[in-house]
Amino acid sequence: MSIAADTADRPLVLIVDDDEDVRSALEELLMSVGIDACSFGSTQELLQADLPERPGCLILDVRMPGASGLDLQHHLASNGNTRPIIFLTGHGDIAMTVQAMKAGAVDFLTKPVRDQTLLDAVTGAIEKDISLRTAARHIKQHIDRYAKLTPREREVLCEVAKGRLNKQIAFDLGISEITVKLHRGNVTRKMQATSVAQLIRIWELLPAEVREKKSP
Amino acid sequence: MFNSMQIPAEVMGKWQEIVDLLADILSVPSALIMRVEPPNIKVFVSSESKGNPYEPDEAACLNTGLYCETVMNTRRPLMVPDALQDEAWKSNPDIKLGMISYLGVPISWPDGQIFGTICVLDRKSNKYSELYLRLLLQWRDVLQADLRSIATMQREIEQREAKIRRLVDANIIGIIIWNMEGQILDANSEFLRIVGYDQHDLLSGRMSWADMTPPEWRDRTAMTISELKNKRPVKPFEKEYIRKDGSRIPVLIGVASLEGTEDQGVAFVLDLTERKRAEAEARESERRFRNMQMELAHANRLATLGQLTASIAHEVKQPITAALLNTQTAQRLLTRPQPDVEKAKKAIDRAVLNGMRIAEVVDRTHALVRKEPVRKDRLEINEAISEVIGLTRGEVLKNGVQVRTHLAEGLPVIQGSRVQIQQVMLNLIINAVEAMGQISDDRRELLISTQAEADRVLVAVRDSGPGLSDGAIERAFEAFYTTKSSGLGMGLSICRSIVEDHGGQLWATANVPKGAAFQFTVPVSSDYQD
Repeated sequence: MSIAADTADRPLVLIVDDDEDVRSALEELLMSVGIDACSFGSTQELLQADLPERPGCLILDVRMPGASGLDLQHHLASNGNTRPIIFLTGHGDIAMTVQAMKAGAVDFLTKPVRDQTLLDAVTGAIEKDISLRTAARHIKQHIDRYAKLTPREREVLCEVAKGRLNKQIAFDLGISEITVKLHRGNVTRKMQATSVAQLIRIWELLPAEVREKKSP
Repeated sequence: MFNSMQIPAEVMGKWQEIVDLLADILSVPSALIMRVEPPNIKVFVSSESKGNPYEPDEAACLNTGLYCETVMNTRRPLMVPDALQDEAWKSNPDIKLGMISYLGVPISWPDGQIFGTICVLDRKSNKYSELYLRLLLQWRDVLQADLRSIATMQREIEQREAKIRRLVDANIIGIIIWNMEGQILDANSEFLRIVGYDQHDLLSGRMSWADMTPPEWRDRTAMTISELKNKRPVKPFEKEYIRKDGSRIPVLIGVASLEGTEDQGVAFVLDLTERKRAEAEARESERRFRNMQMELAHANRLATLGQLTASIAHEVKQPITAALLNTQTAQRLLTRPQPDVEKAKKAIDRAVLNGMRIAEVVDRTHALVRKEPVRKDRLEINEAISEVIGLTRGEVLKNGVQVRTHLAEGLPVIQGSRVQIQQVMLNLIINAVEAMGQISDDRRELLISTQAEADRVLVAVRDSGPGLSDGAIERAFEAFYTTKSSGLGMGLSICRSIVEDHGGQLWATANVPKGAAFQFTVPVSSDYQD
């Protein structure tokens, strides 16, 4: 199926099920409510496909030939692919459900499934993905902005985030209070924060390994 | 013992010639061969010569002083040149017939018993030269040689008859002499036992094979009679007789016409009651065996399917899921502000196909659960195998097994029971999956293949499990042999009997590079035409 570029923000649901009938029924149901869907007969097919960066979710059959749905879940997670996963199973296997949920599945539905149940799960998963993506995009911006700070500015930001006063920071860093104020002003501007409180929240959103990097 | 012995006609003719020649050569009215038949002596052969007063078969009492009596008693030749001149012979009976001279020699049977004499008599005094005596003795030797061969022949006949008599009297088989008119002329007691008659019935001459033959067998009997009349050999055949009490008895009968008689024959009759009962019993026990096998096979299928419930549920749930999704999609498409009838119709079409698939799966499963007599139809083995692969898919996936199939295209049709062949496949696949479930993290591969061989189809199920030890390969097919904690160990034994019942073979070997391979053959349907 071709995925046009101008649909980049439209959600796309990826379906993996070895049963062709189930696959096409799922695809058609989603299409009927205006959700783009694309299906694969096996996990290998999915992994080999060139997937567009579009919000959405995965509908996975737990039990398939070759790598199972659970295997795929692990594989995707370890590659940083965060698409929410809805598991479909014919068995309702409790142990498997627990395992999948622990690994981050958003839903676990048993076959046969009601259309509304499935669509609710899909909509929920898509929303979750969109908010996750938005959050991720914001963090990315913060990281990009943080990268533009000088080492001294980073030190000052770190100290500010700890809640220390300007004069304490000045004493610790061996610089004047005025210089600290100058750095703080630069940091707030570069990080595009409107208040100290917001600056601290941005700092906290930064991944730990990013915060550890004192030099660009 | 020789006294009553018949002298064959051709010998009698030769002897007649001898006495005729004798009378002629010696120019006497009478040349005779006398035979003793106590208490008489009779003229056995008499020369056809002029003035011979002795007629054949004339008998005279012994102990009346006949010339021949003396010859037989003394066992020596006797010559009486002129009885009238001889004090000792003056009153002998032959003088009354005018025979006053006599020359005779004794004839003996090979055992030394007296047969009689060969002698010449004359109405006139006759001194009979030494030459005549020698001639007489020579003829006597000829006669004795004949008697010897007759005795030998007789002994052979008697031995043969004794053998036949022993056979008849042994009463192992019924023997009758019968005629074309339908009568039974003679029968041994076994025959009488078979048909429930007694000696009295036989002697009264009332016994009739025609009356004892049931109406439905009359045609067959008539056919036999006509074959006999045309001198064709008649094979033994089975028929029934009506016994005296009206019941029927099954018999095997072999008939032959009696040599030298136009309308008589001999027949042996074998009582088949026991054999028929044994056959019926064998059929009954065969039936019971079949039933038991069917029960066992059914129990095995149930047990095997029991292991597959999850798998079968999965197999049914897939199309049900699709059907539900498709119908609900159709509902959505029809109930939205601008209904899309075209797409809704397509969704319903798909739902219909899904529904048909559900029915197929259910039928397939049901066929395996049902207990019914085995029917062998023309069967496409690949199709039957594919169905089983479908049913076991869930079980296979659950165990992380990869299934590969090499099903040869254009395989000939086989003659077989779909359910049974599927049962064998079911067992082999489940066994393989279970075997591979025992190994930890190795690749689990199941290869199912079919291929055509000369006049049969070969099916192979290969796994990459732990395989079978040599001992286990040998014992795998024994009933109740199992390496599993669950199960009766009947599976493979039942599979083997199913395959053999189809005229094929089932065997196990090691798979390369690892695992076990189970293979079986099924002969190609004989009426298969390309």
